Amino acid sequence: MTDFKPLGNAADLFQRINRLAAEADWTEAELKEAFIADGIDPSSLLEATLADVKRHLRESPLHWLNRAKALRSQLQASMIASERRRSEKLPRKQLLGNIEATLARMPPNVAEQLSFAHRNFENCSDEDLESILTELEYVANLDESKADE
Amino acid sequence: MNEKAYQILSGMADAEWAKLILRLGRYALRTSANLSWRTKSKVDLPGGETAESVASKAIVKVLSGERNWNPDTDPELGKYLMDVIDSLFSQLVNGDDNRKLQVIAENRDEHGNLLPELQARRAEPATEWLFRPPQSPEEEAMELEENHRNEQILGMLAADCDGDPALKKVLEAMFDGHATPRSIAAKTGLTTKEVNNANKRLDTKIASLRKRLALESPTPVLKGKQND
Repeated sequence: MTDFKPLGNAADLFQRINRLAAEADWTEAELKEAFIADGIDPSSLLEATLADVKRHLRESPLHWLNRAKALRSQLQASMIASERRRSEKLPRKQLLGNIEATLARMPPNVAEQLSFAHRNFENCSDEDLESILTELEYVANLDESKADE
Repeated sequence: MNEKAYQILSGMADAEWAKLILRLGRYALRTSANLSWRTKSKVDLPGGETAESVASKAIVKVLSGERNWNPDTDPELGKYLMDVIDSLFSQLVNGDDNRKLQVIAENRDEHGNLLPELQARRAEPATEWLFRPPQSPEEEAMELEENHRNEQILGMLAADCDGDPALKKVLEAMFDGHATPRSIAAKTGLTTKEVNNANKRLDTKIASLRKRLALESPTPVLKGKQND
């Protein structure tokens, strides 16, 4: 609000006083008095609104429990995809391509930590490559979930 | 809702919420009383709303993310929620069952939040954002009656402040257009805490004077225009 603003009429003055008064410090008892003076029971407003507040906070996608559920679903989906791939027996070339693509999705420092560049993939069995890919996808999904937050 | 807002809101204790809810409820109650000439009642508002339900709705709109509170641009949650309450009253005044006055189109974003430039020069919800379509003679008479009533309250308030130099100084500074505690304090030589306390006392006085006057001369209700 600007420091200076001419008033239009008495109603403007009353609303300005209301706004400035609302920004002052009030005790809970003083606030309740304002309701009681108007014949309103403040406890019904308090109870209903507090219940609404708690429900919205609990149901928010940002609540830790809802985040954990979302992450769990995401990881489950990733595991199911891995299982499906295993049962489909992807060709070796595609397994290697997927490993490279998953490493590329990760931030460079994470990718470097998990880098399998030193490995001689030629010596890895298809089964080993599948395991490496599953692990990398798991880490990449976890990392993406953290980045989303 | 953004992460920072959620962390602040979910970190608030029940006692903090209780105080905020009561503070907003009181603000809505008084705003409603100041708008009563438009809504015909400070208790029953258009659309079956009450002042308390408007306060509650403002909080829920922020919690549900319908109003996007950004603690970085609006660090004071209470003030932000009061702006939301003003906006909700503005919508009620402009509602289907309360078309006596119309609201000038505001510069708001898609969530109904005031745009930063307008926030800086935010109009008080009492009158400034309203313009009047042509009124019937009866409506004009009602408005004159309400203005007269407000002038009466103002006269009584000024008289009531005679014995209290702090209240008188604050009132005079506001008559001169000072609109913030800081500006009023600079004008009057009072501290901002004294200015805030004076505003609380003024507000309580207005409420009791309004009530006293209503008991002495109830507002005539315009036939066929009540909010039912």
